[in-house]
Amino acid sequence: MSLQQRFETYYNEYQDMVRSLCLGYSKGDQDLTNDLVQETFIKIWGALPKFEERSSAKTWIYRICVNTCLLHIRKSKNKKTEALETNHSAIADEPTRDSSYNELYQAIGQLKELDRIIIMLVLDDLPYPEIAEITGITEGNLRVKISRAKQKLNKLLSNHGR
Amino acid sequence: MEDKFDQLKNSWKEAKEGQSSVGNSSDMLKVARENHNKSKKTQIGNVIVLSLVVIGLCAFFYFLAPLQETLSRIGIGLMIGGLLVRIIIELVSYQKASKIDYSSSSTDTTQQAQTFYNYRKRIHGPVTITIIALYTIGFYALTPEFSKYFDTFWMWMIDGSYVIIAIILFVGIRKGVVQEMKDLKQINELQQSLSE
Repeated sequence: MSLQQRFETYYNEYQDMVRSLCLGYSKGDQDLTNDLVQETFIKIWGALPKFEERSSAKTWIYRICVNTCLLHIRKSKNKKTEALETNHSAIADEPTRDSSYNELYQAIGQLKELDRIIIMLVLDDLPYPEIAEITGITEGNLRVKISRAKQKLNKLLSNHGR
Repeated sequence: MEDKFDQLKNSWKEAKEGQSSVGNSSDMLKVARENHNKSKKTQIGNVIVLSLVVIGLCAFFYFLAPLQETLSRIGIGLMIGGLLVRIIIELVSYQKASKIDYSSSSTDTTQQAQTFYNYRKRIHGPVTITIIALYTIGFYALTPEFSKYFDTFWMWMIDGSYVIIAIILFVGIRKGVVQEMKDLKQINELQQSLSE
């Protein structure tokens, strides 16, 4: 399979996964989500020639997406999007996000960047060893972080429900 | 606690399912290809601009103003030498930046980004100041010989214009440095939260 075909296959297969992670990370901000999704796929394209499929494509894409989000924080205050005007518009024309999910994104958004990423991977039903592999955090440490994040989320949701 | 979290999980799944796919793969491929190349060109762009300045200076001092005095030659050496050092630094920066592997684990990628920004921090400190100082000394070292060929008014214009250019450059460089230092601070915080 050519690089182009592989890229298109990955895009078709994983774009929803990437988008939802970016959307959660950006607390539902569509513009930032578009930037992050685009940046993730630009990085996937750049890294594709070296990807030998030793790990699963899904884990590999998660890693690129997670790292793109985490390191994007430095750009968010000084946006320098590399978007091409013409092509960007085709990708940026998103369906309007259902406002009922605001609460969900806002709750997740209260967590610190790293905890937000970890909790979204948990919500995506990823097994702990896989989350540990993606983040590079030891499994023991990861369990502690997840437990703390869950507690915080629980508190936030309880307060909101009152 | 699990109940609340399960509710959240369900909402998350619903949100994911309700999200319709956007854009087709060929559009994204086009964007990825063009931006990937654009990013490389931007990084190499600085090196090309600096190289053109070096070529321009060499041509100027070789063909148009072949200065003879030792002080002038030292000045030319300092100006061109400083620029060459800067070009090397930019090339090393480019190489280090392209080594950041986003497909590694977050701890590894953050570590690589941290190494890159620490390198940039070192460069922005004494190295950049030294280069600018040597370039400035080199520029003003040309004044004695130039003043033999230009009257005082033009010498004031030449020397004065350098001050204006230097101020503009300083403001531009400072802005970039401040941003990069903010970036480094955030990466350090991220690295700390990964290791906590």
